[in-house]
Amino acid sequence: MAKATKLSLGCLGLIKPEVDLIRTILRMSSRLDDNWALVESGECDAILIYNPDKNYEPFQLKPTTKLIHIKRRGESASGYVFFKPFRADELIDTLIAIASSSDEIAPPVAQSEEPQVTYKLKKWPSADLLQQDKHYMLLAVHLSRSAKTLQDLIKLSGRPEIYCDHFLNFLKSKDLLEINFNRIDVQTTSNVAKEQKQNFFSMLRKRLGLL
Amino acid sequence: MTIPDYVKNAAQQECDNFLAEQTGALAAVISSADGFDVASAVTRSLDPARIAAMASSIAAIGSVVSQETQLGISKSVTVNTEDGVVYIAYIELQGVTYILNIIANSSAILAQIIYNCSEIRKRLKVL
Amino acid sequence: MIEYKLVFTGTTGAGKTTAISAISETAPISTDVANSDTGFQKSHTTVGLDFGQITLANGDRLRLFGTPGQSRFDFMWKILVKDAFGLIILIDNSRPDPLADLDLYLKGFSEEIYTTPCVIGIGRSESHPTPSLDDFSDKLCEYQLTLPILPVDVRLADDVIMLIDVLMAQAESDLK
Repeated sequence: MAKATKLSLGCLGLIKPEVDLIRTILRMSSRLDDNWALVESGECDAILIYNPDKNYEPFQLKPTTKLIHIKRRGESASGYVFFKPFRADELIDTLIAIASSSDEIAPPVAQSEEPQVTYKLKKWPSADLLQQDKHYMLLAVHLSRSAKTLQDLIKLSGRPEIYCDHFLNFLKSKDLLEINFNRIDVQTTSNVAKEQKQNFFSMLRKRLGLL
Repeated sequence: MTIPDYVKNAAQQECDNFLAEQTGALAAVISSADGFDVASAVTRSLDPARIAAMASSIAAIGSVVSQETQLGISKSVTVNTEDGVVYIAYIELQGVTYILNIIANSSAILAQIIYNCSEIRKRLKVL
Repeated sequence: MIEYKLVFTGTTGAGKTTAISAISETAPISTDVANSDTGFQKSHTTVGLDFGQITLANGDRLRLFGTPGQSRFDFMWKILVKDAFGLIILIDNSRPDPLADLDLYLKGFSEEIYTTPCVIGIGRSESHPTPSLDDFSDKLCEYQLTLPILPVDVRLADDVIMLIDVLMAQAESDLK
């Protein structure tokens, strides 16, 4: 999506080498397409923030400013998150999601996502779309089987919330998603049968060299 | 592989005779190893094409079993049912393997079917 | 010991026997006989089934079955797909009408296709790019299906493994 002006990203609580890394990612990523710039003060569209103490100086929050909390991997998180050790692709996914999300202060999942909203693929996506990211096919598989909530998708794929949400937005933009706002009927498999099958698949993946 | 008309006619004659003469016979179908019927005589609403396909599958599975168990080449497979019998045997036409499939009700005697099929095999082999 | 079954089906010459051979731990059993059908450029064709297997470290087994391709053997399709955890449909894109071929298997497995995990592998799509994968996707929409459609070369074990990996993902998705 082309933007007339660049989006601005601030960093708070990061050390200089980390800030330099972020600056390099913004500059070098073809996926970001030079749509983001690092700023050192003033209003910004998003702030990468570590250990916030609610003092955002020298930045000024707009109603639409997104906070991206920096956490250690394994820590519980909600909303926009960037995990340490840093991975460039995760930051890029997050910034793309922010750029395409609606203008709300709160993270998109908390405000726009109700637990009973489900998504299902209407049609298998094109090869071009799936080839954009190696995890897209797995997400598409899950969405093709039955209606899933965002939480289902996160749990099944092991991908972060932001990543899954971005993929859903992408599919929505291509009119490939069936969205349902009704309560989901949950079919349950017995725990024993489920465990047996999961164990079998895990062993089969090892046997086939997939793990 | 195309078999000459006279061979095909002879095969058809064998099927017709079998149906007419064998007590309890319901169908006699001769098919290629890959399941195409080449000659048949059937009663009821039996479909020769379907019988041919099923017979070739059963014959092939019989062959695999005999190979796996090292019991030599498979010659026939018998399916005993509540109300009759299905007998599937390998024959030769013009040096090529074909399958003779017999379906009969419970009034048929299996030993008689086996004997008659053996005679059919001998007659068709020399054509 | 638990045993699961996986079935390969699809057009004659699409590579069902080859796919099983690529991953089976033992030489597969096959019921190939001389092919008299001039519609297929193959010397032999499967008339019963192909069989291979993979044994896991704990003794569980995955049994691999290949069906005959021609529709006159559809009674074998029903027999073999019973209780299968997954179905792989292989299509040869070099054939005259691959979309019609897919139709045949979607109809032939009409009971299973909506519940059993299923993935479609398109062979020879590099040398024969039409119909495209998107065309197959459109065909599935006619059946209200959204099944994974992947280009594959079943001579390569990695491609066959990828198909199985996608099937497992589908099966895991179904577990709740």
